[in-house]
Amino acid sequence: MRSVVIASLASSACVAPLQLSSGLAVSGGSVNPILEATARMQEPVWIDRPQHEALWLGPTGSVELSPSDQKAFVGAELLRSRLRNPRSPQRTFDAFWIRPEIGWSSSTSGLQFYGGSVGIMRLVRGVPLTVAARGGSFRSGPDAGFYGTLTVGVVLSSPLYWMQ
Amino acid sequence: MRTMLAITLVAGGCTIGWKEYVTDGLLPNGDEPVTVFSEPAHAHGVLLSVSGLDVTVWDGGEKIADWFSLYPLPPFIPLPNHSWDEPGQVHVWLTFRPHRGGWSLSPGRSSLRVGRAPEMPASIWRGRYREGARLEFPKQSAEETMALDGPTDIVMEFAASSPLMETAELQLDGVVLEGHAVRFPAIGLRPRYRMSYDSIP
Repeated sequence: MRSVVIASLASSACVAPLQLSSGLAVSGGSVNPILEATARMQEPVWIDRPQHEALWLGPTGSVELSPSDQKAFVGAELLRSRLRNPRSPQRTFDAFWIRPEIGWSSSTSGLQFYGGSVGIMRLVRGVPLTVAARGGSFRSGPDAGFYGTLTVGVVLSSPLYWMQ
Repeated sequence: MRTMLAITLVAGGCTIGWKEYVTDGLLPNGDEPVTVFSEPAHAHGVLLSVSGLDVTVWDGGEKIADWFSLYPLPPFIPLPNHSWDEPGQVHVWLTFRPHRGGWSLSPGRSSLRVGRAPEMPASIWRGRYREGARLEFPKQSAEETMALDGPTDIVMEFAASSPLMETAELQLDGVVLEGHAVRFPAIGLRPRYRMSYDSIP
């Protein structure tokens, strides 16, 4: 039974929108480049169909790679989406999200990070681009204290994914 | 552990997903019908029945985007359907199952009301017999009348923009039995979007 659940989750994750981004991480006075991948599994909890707007809720998972270590974050995301002119070449799409998160670092053991992230998504020439910021604190390890990131990225999916 | 990994790899070996726009049929009182149809396309359809004729109002669905991935790649390759770059009009699928002779249909007499807008008649329709001759009909003028000699599918097109932004009301008229018009209650058509997934193998 557990295998079936895991397989189902894997299959679902494969068709959920994936966000790839890069940017900078700030901690302890140092700045490091990072690459990040974020997977979402969302369900709409509120829909305004005439306006093609919706509020989505669901878990997220992020993996962050830097020259010194790898980090993982999980959280619960609330995302507001707005699609305009869905059936035309002039369609536009905007979204913003807020996500409380906890995280782990490969350089230390145990749960280390408490914080959250916010971001926006916007359609530019048909491609959903993102700008996101994360802020929080690591309890110990080389990143102990405030930890923040600023990234820009792309969502590997059609904006019609969020159509409601 | 190996078994779990193998199952995960097989299940995620090749994953496809797609999103569709559909309109669910609602009963004349606005309630959702209980699903009685075995065909997936009819799962959210409504069955209207009078003595000697069953009519199913259903939605064929309209694909708006696909997703595809090969394990362990993430869900790359979103493929929006290019038809969504063009304006579309409302289509309604109907299946007629006569249980006696003498039925005919004038599709142009059926109408659709969207919100407070005035009723609009079907502009064109096309159809085919499901059994027997299996004749394919090209698009027809809504003024044409056809004999319902056997199980028949038709698609009516209305000059309302698709996707619907709110529940619309379909009034099926133009159904005639041996010269006498038979009137059906109006039913609702509620827009909805659904995601579907499948894995290969």
